[in-house]
Amino acid sequence: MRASDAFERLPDAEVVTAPLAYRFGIDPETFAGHRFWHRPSAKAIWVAAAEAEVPEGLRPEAFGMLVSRMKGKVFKPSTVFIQRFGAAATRNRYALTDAQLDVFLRRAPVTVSPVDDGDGAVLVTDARGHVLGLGRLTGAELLSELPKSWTLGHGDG
Amino acid sequence: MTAPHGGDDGRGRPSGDRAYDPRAPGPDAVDPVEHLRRYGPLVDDAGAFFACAQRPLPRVVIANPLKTTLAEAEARVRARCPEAEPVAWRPGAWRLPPEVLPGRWSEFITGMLHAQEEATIWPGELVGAQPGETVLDLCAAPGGKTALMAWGMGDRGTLVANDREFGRLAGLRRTLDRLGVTCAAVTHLDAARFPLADPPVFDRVLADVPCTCEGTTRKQKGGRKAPTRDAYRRSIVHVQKAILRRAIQLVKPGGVVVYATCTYAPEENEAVLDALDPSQAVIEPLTPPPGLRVAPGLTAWGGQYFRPDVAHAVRLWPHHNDTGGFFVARLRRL
Ligand SMILES: C[S@@+](CC[C@H](N)C(=O)[O-])C[C@H]1O[C@@H](n2cnc3c(N)ncnc32)[C@H](O)[C@@H]1O
Repeated sequence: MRASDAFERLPDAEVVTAPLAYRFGIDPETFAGHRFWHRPSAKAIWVAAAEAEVPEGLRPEAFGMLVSRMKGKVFKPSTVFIQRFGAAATRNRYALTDAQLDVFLRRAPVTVSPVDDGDGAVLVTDARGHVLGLGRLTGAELLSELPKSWTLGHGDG
Repeated sequence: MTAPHGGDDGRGRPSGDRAYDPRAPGPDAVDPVEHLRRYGPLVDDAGAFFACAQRPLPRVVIANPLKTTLAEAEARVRARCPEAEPVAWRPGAWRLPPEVLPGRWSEFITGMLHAQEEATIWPGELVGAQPGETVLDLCAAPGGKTALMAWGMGDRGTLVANDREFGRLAGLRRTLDRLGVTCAAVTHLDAARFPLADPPVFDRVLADVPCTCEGTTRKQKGGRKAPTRDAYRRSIVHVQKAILRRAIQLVKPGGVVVYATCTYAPEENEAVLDALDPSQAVIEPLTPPPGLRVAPGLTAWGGQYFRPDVAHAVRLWPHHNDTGGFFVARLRRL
């Protein structure tokens, strides 16, 4: 097993909740049933169910879900985190039509109408409101920021 | 299911009785289910068993209750694949024709749906994980049953998902992440040496152990698979016994341990249960959901007699429910 230090509570949850509230209007109360964690010597931030505890004596590789790899830098949330909690977004979100969805998932640019604050990160959903992840809007052009490995075809099996 | 750790490339010949299947090929032909012939005497209809074991497996998708409702999932599956057929015994699961690739649907990217071998759904749910509990999955990758347990917990509590193969942890994490599970801690340990706490902390433990995977022939496109070498079987049985013993030590007294394999061999199933000290755990009777046909565990095999409560364990034969093969037992620590 790789030697890694233990997960500890993230001292300041606002490093996660403030940017999400600012850009997407996600109410920090959305995370009331969860807690944020980190390993002091590592850069990643994690989120886990509030009741979840690492049993004594275990040194897990992962705890809950990865929120961001870069503690301390500009906050860049992981796609899985946005998928899990992004439904609470009230601003700068865009629902793709089924036809646009296909294009987006192939990582081709989608022409869209503007969102609240214009250029920048957009929370992208399907036509029924299920969160896909983030896109980047430049003018009327929306590009996928989903990991490359998540292009259509993944998840089979 | 998954390849057993260490691989199975043996060339030994199985000891089996071919007399039960009139369609058994002659001595020169390649027999794709040669390694299964020894189980002919155990089933009601050996011909149906051997034939079914060579047919491709229907794909099954299951709704993720953390991200969707039954009604919404039903509507999406119908829209994607009108030929989808509900699984008779389990709401929220659908069979798709083998040529349909659900991994290409956006419902997989958002984690609304998951692909899960039908025969493994009920065994995973038998663990009975509840919200707020502390649950351990000793052999978790790629996480199909871990997900079923997280759903039972409503994603609340602590679910430790362990696997010894470092290369398989990424797939395990990918499953849990995509499905939106936040109650899991992923560890990378040998299940047989999983650290003990005094007193034990786990309410339930799943031991879905590595095995010879005889029940997965339908995934291997018709079953061509070298027969299991006796030496390999013996070494894996050793691991199975060690993991089950550890599972019992890890669960609280009165807690549940589920032992499961995707193989038919009594050596890897009933004989492993029989090796447990009977004063430590009992094997509980199981009530399968209506519509799922199961066969009771064997109390004797190859001249060996097993503890009587192994009859409470069950085998899923592929031709009974048109699934893969599986074996499962639920034990309660005394
Ligand atoms: C049958 S598969 C588990 C399938 C999984 N439970 C699911 O439902 O998706 C068995 C797993 O056990 C792991 N394994 C093998 N030996 C192990 C050991 N000694 N300790 C822990 N895991 C082990 C293998 O890497 C493999 O992932």
